[in-house]
Amino acid sequence: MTELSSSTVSLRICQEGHANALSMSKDSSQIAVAGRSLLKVYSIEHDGFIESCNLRAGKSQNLSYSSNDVTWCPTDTNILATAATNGVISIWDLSKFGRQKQLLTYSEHERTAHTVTFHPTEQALLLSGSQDGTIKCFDLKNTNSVFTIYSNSEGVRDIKFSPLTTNVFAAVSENGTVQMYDIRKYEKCLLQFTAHSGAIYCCDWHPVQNWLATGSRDKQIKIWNMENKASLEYTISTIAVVGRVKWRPEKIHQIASCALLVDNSVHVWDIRRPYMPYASFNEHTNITTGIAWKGNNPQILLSTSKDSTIFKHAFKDASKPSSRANPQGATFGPAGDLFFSMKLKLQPPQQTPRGSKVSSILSRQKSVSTTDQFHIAQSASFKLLLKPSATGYNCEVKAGKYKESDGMIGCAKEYIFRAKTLAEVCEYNSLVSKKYGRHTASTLWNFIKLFYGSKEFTNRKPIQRTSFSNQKNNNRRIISKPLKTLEKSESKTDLNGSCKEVDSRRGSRDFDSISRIYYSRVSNQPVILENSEGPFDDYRSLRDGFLYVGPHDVTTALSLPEATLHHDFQAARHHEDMKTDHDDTLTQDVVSVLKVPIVPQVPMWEPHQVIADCLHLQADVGDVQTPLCIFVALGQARKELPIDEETVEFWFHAYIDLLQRYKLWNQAAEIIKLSWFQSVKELNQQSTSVHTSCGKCNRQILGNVGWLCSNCKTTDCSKCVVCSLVVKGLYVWCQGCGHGGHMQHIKEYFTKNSRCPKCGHCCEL
Amino acid sequence: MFEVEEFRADHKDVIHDCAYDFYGKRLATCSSDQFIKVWDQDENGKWTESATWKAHSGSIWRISWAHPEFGQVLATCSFDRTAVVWEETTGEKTASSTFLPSKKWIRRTSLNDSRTSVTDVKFSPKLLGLLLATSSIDGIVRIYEAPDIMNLTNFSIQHEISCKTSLKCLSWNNSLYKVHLPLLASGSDEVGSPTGKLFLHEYCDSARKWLKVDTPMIVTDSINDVAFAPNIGRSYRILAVASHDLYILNINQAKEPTQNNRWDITLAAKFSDHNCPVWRVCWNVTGTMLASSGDDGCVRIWKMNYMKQWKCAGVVKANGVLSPSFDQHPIVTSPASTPLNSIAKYYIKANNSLKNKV
Repeated sequence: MTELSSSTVSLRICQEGHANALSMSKDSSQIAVAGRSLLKVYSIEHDGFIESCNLRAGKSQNLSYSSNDVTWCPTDTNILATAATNGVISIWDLSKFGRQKQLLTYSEHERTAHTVTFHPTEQALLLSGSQDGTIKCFDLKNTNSVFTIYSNSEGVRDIKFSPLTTNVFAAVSENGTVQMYDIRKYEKCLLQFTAHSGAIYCCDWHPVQNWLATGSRDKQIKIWNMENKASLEYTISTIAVVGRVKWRPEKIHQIASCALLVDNSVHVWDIRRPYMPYASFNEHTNITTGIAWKGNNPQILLSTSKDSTIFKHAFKDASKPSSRANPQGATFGPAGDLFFSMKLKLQPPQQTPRGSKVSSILSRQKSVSTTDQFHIAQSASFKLLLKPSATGYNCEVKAGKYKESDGMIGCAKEYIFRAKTLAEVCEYNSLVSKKYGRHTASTLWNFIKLFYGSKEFTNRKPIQRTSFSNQKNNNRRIISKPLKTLEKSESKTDLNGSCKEVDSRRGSRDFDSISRIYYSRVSNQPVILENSEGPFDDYRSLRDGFLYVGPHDVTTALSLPEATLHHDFQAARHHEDMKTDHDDTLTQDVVSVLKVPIVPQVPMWEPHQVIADCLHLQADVGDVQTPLCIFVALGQARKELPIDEETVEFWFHAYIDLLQRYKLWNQAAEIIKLSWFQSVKELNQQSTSVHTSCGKCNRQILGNVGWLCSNCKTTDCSKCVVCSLVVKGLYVWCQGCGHGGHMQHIKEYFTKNSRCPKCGHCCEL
Repeated sequence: MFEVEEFRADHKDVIHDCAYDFYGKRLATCSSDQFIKVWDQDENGKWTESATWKAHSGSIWRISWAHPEFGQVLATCSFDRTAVVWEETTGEKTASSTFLPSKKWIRRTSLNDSRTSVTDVKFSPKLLGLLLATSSIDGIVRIYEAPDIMNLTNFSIQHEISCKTSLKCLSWNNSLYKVHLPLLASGSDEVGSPTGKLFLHEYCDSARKWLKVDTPMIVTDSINDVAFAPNIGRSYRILAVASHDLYILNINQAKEPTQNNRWDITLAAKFSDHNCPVWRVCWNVTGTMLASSGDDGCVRIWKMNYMKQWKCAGVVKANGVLSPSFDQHPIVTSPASTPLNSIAKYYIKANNSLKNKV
């Protein structure tokens, strides 16, 4: 089995003219290659080919030698037969010298000879098939044919002797029929059947089974069980017209094929999996014209091609299309359901009970490498239905009532954007989002209510806005904190402290120095600040669901009455300041602030950047609904937020697209209506014009009055057929006769009648 | 996290791809058995097969729905070296019959430009019109356009992008953000060479060409699937790559673009949890959930938290087992009747370790 390890080798056989056929000698040591200007014999070496004989050396370009097929005599390794394009069958004897090599020629076929084959046991007998529709039998002892069979076809493409039943052969022809004859009783066809809808170009008998494989123009290879009468066993669909087929030795279910057109590759199929080649050899750069297995060795395949090369393919070098194919498919539906299909894994028969990961990995590798299992290819499909509780981490905690998409849809349906005050809008929307288990959105709405819904905000002086811009440039209000600390209750003070540090520095006079200190802690990462005594009741799930966005103080302030908010807010903060002392510089600051109980000079903290960051973060984590709806609800106050217009426009488009995906057309229309972007508004104005034409003259009705035809100067075409008045609203009509009128009238009329009041047409409304 | 329900697709060979339509009411599956099946969901949520037809003369690798704005349109690609566009047509309603008009899938066009197996086909986001991108073993991404969306028989090739190595998959960035340039990612399944396997191309309006953005060296193993997250309001793009491991890349337009570096590609996460090749990645419609499926038959769900860190949110094992009674059938009947004993099993890993981290 040294040849198992040998790898693919190739040889360029000829510069001019391509090969048409290939034949393996009985002892598998030599191959004959025939072509238009080529007839050579090569001996197969371990690492290549050696030309042992050139039968066309010094010969002129004679059509008689332009071979379509070559075949080796199975009983005498020196005898070869070729079928020429002009119909000449030539017999060659390699043991002779020079011109003597050409032993015999039969020029009986009137047209191209396609195939020639020797009787497997009787050396002297050979058969040839030709385009003239005949099968001729020659005896090497005679100079003329022994008999001629006139098949009922245009051309006989291939003839093969059965390896199991002596003297029986099959011939395939261009009209798609297979015929079986016994050479001893050639007058009568043993069996005849139509195998393909197109021409059959090749056939091959299975070496052990009583199977005949046929390859056709219809791109199929069919396997026929020839027991008694032919019955179809398998159908392989290939991608191109089949040129040659050859059963793989030792492998009952495998067959090699090459194409006549388009496809340059040699494919080896497992007939039990007739859709995908088991292995492919893609080395040839032109159409492969001849294939042969090396005797009984299933590991070596030889092929010739129109690219004038011979390849000795080692099977291990073949590419396996199935291994590159993706065996799994998955797709998400809008409701978050996943459809998943996967190729089933075959469990090896005798196997220890599965369980440990290692054993399942081993068995998988085994099953992949086992070639016997190629044909078992099935997929199982599953619908993975998202459970409502699935928000991610808190699988077993508290099951929410809504899926992510349900919450989105619910909020989309119930959100309001206009009310008396912004505070009302926010409060309502906050409750809505809470109802659907969207706590982050709920909190954000509360923020908005707090910051933008209060009177303080609206009465603000523009002077403070300059401080906002300063702050915006100088420092970020975002700090990042390792999340781990949040879990521990001891970290509470730390958190509060750090939070407050951030806040207090805004009031600090030594602004720059502190901001420098914190600058190092500032990162691009968004804030996750946690408050362990948050005002919302579902707090624990929130933590597991990992979020709470925004500055700490504000949430505590949420519970405070609106009017006193800012005052208490500051006071509370200072109160906490007293308790902490991590940072010396800070403590100093804090103390100095503390000396004044009310700090009127301290510019009020501007929430714009934080809110903008929150909205951005919310959008980044995949919830565009909340930031967009907040933006819409804010009205003019939105201009405070440092978010660029393109982003908001993008949010509009994204949200509208999402609404449309869930078929929330009304909600989408409302959002479009509320938009202030031209590109969004346009969405509602596309393809909305209705063109009307006069029923009389078929001209388009132009002008302002929709029911008056300017051409015929009448309103006849828009009159109601029931009441004869001009219809100035909805006009319904029968598409068959074109008559119609007021919807109400027509409806009433057709409850009692079925024919048109004007013309008696059997109307369909 | 998921309830697993078996779905009998009854394909005779491996199902290579499946796709929900835009609204999630239809499902298309394609298989090596060269058939496409379309499933429709009725009001009660029941799925029924509404169409099945032999579509190719080779394994069908991928299937893709066009935006419903363009009608009911599917595209498939196959081992037979073609990509085909299918359209469902509604027959004329006849006055006599009370039945619903018969619907039929019709082959609108067959794109035969590739000389090798076409490995992926994807319709573009609707913002770009009706474009179709295909990738093939010959390493070329082809972009076709239907200039007239009413006439699907006319798809003309607009661009050919050569990646010089066999391609397995591609993905459009489907952003609705008009300042976002169209971006196309493609992945190669070439084995061996430690070169970049992921290719990013952007459409350059001024040159009217697709230009190579980058071949990040982050992914050097052969790639099985790529998928851009649906961009619903996000300021940057997320690309999931299924290779030997699962990669999640953030792709951003560079803040200070230079001539040769206009994009900022960073690795957001890399997971080896599957411990075997990852075959598929797919996103839910909002891009909040990423599913990856591996050779182990597990589907893993990934979510990003507010720290923009990716965490595994669940593992589902859908376990189908073939009975081993296939052995030594000298003559077996068609594969459809191969004894098949599929058992769906699933379990959820309540990942305690993760919980502590968050």
